Amino acid sequence: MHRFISVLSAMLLALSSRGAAAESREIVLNYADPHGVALALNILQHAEPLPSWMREQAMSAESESGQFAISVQRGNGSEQETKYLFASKRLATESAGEAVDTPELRMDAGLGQAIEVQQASDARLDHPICGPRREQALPCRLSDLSRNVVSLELRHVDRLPGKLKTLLDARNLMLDEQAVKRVVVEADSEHVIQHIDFIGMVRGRDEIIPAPDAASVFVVRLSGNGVLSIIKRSRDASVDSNDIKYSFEE
Amino acid sequence: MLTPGLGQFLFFTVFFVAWPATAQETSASSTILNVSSYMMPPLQTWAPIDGSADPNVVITEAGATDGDLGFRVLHLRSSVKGTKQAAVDLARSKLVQTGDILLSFRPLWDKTLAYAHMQLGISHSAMAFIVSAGNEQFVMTIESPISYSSPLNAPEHYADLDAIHIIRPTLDETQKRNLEKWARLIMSNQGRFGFFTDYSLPMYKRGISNVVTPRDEIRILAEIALGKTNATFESYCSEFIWSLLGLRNCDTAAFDGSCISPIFDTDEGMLTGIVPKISGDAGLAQGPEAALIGGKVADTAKRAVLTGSVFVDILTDPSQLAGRMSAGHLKVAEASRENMKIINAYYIGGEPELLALEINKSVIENVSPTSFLIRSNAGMDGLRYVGTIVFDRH
Repeated sequence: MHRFISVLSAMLLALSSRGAAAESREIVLNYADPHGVALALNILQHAEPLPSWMREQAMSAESESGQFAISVQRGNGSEQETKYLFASKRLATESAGEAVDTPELRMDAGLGQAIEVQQASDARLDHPICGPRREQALPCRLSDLSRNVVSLELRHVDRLPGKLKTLLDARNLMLDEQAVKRVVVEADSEHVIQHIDFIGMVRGRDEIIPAPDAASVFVVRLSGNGVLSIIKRSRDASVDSNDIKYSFEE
Repeated sequence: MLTPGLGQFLFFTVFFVAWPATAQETSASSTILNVSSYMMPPLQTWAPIDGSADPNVVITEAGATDGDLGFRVLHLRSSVKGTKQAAVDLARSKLVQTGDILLSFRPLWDKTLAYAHMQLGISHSAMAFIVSAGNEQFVMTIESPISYSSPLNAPEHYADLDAIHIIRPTLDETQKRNLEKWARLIMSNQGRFGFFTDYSLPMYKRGISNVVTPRDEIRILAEIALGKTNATFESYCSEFIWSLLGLRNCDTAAFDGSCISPIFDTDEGMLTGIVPKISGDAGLAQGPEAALIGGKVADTAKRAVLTGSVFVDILTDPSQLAGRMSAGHLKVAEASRENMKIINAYYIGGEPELLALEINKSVIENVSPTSFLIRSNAGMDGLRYVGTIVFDRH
């Protein structure tokens, strides 16, 4: 009896612990906060040093860290242009009452989606979160998830572009301008980012990707501690057509 | 000694840990399927089903806010997306049958560009077969590119595929066995099958010898599969599936071409541009309209949706579109922009027949991956909507 209960208790604990470990969640930023995707991609790729007014948001305490909002304006034609507005309480406090320049930064990762980021006043911080729906009123504020993704990148931004180039050269990879870009965040139950996958960003130089909606098997991964790597996706199980049977062959 | 009370407690505890309540698991339900109503199939086109035979596939229904439209959602575990286990779970659920058409659905195309709206967010088509290996049954696809044929785990495609529509042709057991035999031949000669990238140029328009009509495409597929010719079958995804379905009445052991039967009951078996009230409002551009009509949306509301939400560009910022569609699709959408405006004007003008006929003159008979959903939405050709697979259970 005691042995039975011990075994059963062990089973229950094992099931419980597996449940807890399994709470790591994968969040596709394209759905959760689509405006964060372009920002995350461009920061990862931006080769020039980022201005201090952007970088220091990653160094600030959360209560003082910056927020990104977006607004949409009309370009030269009828096309829309999205502008990312960056504001932080600390910066606003320091410049309170003073006329300040509103520096802008143009970021072009060479993936066909250049963006502009402009420093803004603290008034931008009170906007509602953008969310996934297009009919969300603008301007709006990027989600905490996007902010966490960007913060992680900004903490390691000095090393990222160079590191990425090294990885691409070593693996005979290149930037991919064709595939749709996905940003997938793996976070634990405490919302701590374990890693971020950038899908569709790179491809093999000799890789054939025939279908228009397909993406390379190569994925850029940024770990929670800032390590950049290349992941190669493969089939979890290979099926030889000679080993399968259709029902007429049963 | 194990008392009855303790035994019951332990039983329910184990049960709770082993089988979490499905309501909580699916409550997120697919916010990814929170799309415009015209992208949803009409309720009257849903195929009757018996329910899921496997606890790993949970069914819910999500209706539109306007119209008799919605999704029957097949919830799989998020961990199985892009893995063979998804194929195993679906086979066990018995919700997928041999011959079912799997359509890659891109919810992120909603509220972007007119061309993407017209395509109902559909980017690819494949056919499913229930196969076995040893004691295990699973879904095996056949599709073009042929290299993507897999138990839903070709990483270039299925790793990032968040939603899959299942469209069921009306097939009897003989037809299913015929399709299996053709699939066996095709998969045994994969080197004979290539991918053609230009979806605007069907095979019968490419100047290929002896392929001058859509039906010729079906015939040449059979001849290549049977090894009667050394030619290769280069097709885009929808062309491949349409051609394969055209062989459903053909026995591989006795093929003579007379059995060929295109799945679409139109003049040439393919679809055309806008067919004014002749073929059930189910031309290549009429997917949204067919959905709204099937969903019993009033004419004025239908026209408002088509002119204000469908055939208009809503999101034009390239920096934001890159996270929603590929450069290839963007290019096609841009090239189609003027045509989309013409179609918009057609609906604004009350769908004048003369304008439709003019538009049709510039469109050749073709089949897109969306074609199967268009005809299903219109209740035609024996095509029915089974459900939409998503991977959102934890």
